[in-house]
Amino acid sequence: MNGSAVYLQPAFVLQHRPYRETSVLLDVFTRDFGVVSMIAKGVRKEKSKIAGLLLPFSALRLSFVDKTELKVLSQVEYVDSYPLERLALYCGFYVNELVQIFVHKYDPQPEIFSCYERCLGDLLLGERIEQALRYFELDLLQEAGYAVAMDSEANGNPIMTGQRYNFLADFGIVADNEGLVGGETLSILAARGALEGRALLEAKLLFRKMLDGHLQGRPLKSRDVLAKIIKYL
Amino acid sequence: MQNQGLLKELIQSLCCLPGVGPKSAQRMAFHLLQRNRDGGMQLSKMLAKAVNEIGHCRECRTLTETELCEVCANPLRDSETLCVVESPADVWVIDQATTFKGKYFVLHGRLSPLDGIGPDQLGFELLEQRMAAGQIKEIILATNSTVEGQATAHFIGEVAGKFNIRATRIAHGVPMGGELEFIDSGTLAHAFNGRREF
Ligand SMILES: [Zn+2]
Repeated sequence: MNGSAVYLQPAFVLQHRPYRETSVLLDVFTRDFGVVSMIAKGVRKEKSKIAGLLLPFSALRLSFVDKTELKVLSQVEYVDSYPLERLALYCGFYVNELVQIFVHKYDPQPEIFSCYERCLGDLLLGERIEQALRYFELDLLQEAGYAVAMDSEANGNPIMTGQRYNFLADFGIVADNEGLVGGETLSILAARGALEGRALLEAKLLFRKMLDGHLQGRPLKSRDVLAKIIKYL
Repeated sequence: MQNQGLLKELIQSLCCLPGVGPKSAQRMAFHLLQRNRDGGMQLSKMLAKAVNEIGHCRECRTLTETELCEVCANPLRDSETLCVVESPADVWVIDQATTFKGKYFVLHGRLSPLDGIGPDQLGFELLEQRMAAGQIKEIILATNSTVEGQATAHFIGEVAGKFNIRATRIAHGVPMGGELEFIDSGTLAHAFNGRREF
């Protein structure tokens, strides 16, 4: 996309921070160009009409042009907003950080984009928030190319109920009597069933191990903040 | 043109001010040294004194050189209503523009999980202690209408609920004198979501 202009690309703002006196730096998740960093000039002026639009959790269409390294926002259209509340809102930031880390710049990921929209929709419902997070993590891991099948072991053996399993980085799911996840949970995940109780907890531990393996020591800031928030509630 | 020396260092230091780039910093430096050395001396003394002596109020965390700020120390202010704001500047704005006579709490920021800013960075322990103390009956959430400001309001509101404290949120949306067709769709959507019985 060098040197070209992009018109009205479906996008979500992941993160925004003030830049210079009146501008904002945005990390944006676009449908066809992955994560794109761009500058929105002049939007912090008092009369800016788009300042109220360039916020996380709103479906937007953005046009932007190349100027040197940084893209420059040239047009914004509002499509829809996901007015998340309370826990769903705090968790939304975590979802944004996952995208920021796992979707590369200018790497088209339309599938993850759909999963992201679905996840925000689920969070908006406000029920089964944790389940929405777990399935987004699974989608992200699978779509980002860290192929992790939930329906069989790495060696191809089918998943058995009553058996425990572990996850080994660079290998996959293996039978292990001391493993952190049960066969029942893996079967539910493979069928995208409802996660409750023990299955919810095991899925959380399993995906955390998978994500951490790919993060290679890089901290997830929103996860730490989320843990602190929950302690107060 | 000099690339080092005191003058250059002064110009660079002035650039730390908001809205001041190298050009205006240069103009300021020359002005102080050529035309107003007394003013410059006074400014430098004031700056040093303010930076050394102004800290945070023990109760509300706003900027003050005393242990308790003017508002917290004022027995005529209502201790049952607490207005939570993001910055000390907001305290000034609200105090000037409204008839609010309660007390304040200054977060010095907002929840911003992607930047690693959580309850610890916002003095939440102190805020919770104040809620637990039992005197506060209502908390007014006057954080900004950004998503982060909303998250902060939701969070404080939830904790207030634990202590049976009523939490209210300042209204955001259509500005006074604003005509709907000239309002951006984000603001309008927000105003719609926040509609109230009329
Ligand atoms: Zn005070």
